[in-house]
Amino acid sequence: MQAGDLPCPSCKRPLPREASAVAALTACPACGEALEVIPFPALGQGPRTGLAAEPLSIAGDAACFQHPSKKAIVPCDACGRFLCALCDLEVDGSHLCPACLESGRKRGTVSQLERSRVRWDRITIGLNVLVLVCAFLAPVSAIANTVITIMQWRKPQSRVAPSRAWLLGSTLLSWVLALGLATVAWVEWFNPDGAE
Amino acid sequence: MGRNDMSERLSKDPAYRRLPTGRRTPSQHLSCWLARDHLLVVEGMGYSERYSRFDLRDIQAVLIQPSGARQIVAMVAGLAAVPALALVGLMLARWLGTRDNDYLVGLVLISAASLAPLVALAWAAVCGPLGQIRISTAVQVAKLPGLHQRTKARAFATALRDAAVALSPIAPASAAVAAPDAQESRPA
Repeated sequence: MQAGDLPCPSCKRPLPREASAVAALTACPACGEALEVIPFPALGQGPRTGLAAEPLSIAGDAACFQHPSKKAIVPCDACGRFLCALCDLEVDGSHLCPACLESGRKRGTVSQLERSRVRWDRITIGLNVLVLVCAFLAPVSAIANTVITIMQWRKPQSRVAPSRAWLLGSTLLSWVLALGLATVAWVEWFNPDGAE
Repeated sequence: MGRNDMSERLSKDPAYRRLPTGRRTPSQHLSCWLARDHLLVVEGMGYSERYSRFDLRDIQAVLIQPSGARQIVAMVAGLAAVPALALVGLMLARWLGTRDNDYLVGLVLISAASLAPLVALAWAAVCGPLGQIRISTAVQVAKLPGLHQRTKARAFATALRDAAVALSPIAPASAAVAAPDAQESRPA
């Protein structure tokens, strides 16, 4: 299979170029599996490769920090070091050097490199559900939810759901549950009015 | 741009637009989000989310593999609905003829039971045929497990393709025609 050929999902053999060039229902010539191919502009191209760094041609030109014999084309937006075309890594419109990108990945400051996030809002909701099962956990749940909300408030939340609203709502609900259950316990156990 | 501005911008999520996606289950759901230059696939797994990103310039094609599962459901529901409706008709005729309350109870019960295949048939007709969608790049073919309806899959693929075309300097038709020779003249 050449680079850029589309493989059939069933038999993994390459589909003919003419079959995959137009958006239509087609059949794989090898296995006969029906398939609808919607081509994109990159169809037929291999993996994208980076630009090769240009050597320094004129004395006095800025050189790459990592490769002194290569011409710098842009400074790193984070550390300011000059970068050649090979070292220039573009992330969401910013130019970074490999070291800054790696440190950003480790510290979690580059959102585009994140692979997963914890749904703290769901954890607080789970704690509230736990209170419905085990009522005496209500104060623990309320305190835990408050701590989670304070600690996670400024951190990046879910990309999909309005997590901050859920965090806040869930924490408020946990306090309502805790105070409600405390009131019920006070009335039932201590019987302040001396009824009956 | 100041260093703080830059790090703040990098730590923020870009603007995303939601694409049509499929079903969600309590334990897992999949949603697809389109940014200016990439597709974000979010796989929700209870207390965490997992992200996959596809650069629009890397996507070569969207493959939709039709599945006959819903046609089978429709066929079975149709086959079940025919005798059920016949029985409803028979009971109705008997009840109209005799006005016996036993027939009326039977009619109500059979009518209620015959609703299930009819609902299944209507659901299959409204939702349309199923298909499995895959995103093909030069280095991988990724399956999108949550997107099953072919009409939604087509809408998803069209929105994605439009965004890729807007990003690409090459027109889609010319890209498709030029595909066999594109490897030699590919821009870096």
